[in-house]
Amino acid sequence: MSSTDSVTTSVEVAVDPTTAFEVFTEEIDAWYQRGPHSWKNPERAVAIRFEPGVGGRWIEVWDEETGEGYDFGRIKAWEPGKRLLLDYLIHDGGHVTEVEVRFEPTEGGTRVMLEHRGWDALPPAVAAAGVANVQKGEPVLLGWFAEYLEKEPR
Amino acid sequence: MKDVDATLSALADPTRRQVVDLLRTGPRRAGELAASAETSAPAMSRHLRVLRATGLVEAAGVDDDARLRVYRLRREPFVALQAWLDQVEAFWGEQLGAFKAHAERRSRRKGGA
Repeated sequence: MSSTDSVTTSVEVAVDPTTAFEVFTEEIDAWYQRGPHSWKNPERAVAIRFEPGVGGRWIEVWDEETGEGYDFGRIKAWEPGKRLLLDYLIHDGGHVTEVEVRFEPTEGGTRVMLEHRGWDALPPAVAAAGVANVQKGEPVLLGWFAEYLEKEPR
Repeated sequence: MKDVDATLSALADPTRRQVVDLLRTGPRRAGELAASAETSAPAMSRHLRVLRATGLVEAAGVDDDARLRVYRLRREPFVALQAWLDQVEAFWGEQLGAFKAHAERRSRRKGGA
């Protein structure tokens, strides 16, 4: 559902949480889907990777030799087998949102839950200087939209 | 994307958010909105102009007399914003699906997790 200020999606995978975390982070380049919306610069992107640990970069690599690339964001929490928390830069505006990935054990493996949040705290690209309060994350906005859409039949 | 920016920009102001919130319950006159939001008529008039310019709000009723004009929400900008988030959701859904396929393929190669 993408209703309030966050977008969430999840998947159940038949490996244990530790393995799931490892695959998610160490092998992102092997599973990450290439597509026009996947990259900051689709023409230059050659790989994607996490630099392990808090403060590490989530980087779209443009040149393997020089290490040149684009930072999607920084790693804010790195808890193997449990949780990953990342900044995520929204393209074409410099807006920072947040992605949290949680790994929870299930009977058959792991439930991987991804939440991309912070949409209602976006500093609007064209906003005047006086709108800084929005950056502080006032509890507003997108929740309304969902309610509004539900109330009025299309 | 530009439309979404404009929508977010208009809603960055607390008074304008309040106006949108008030209009959710039904159309209102500018005077009622000013009273509910505890703001002056000229200030409300400016806010309504911004909201109208972005297409968030439209005026209906008696055009000639501003006092009799009623304001109501338009749904298009809200749908655009929701559509953007729906795209984000679809993007991550696809990525997680690819992650699952890869993790399970790899696990089978290694003879099980």
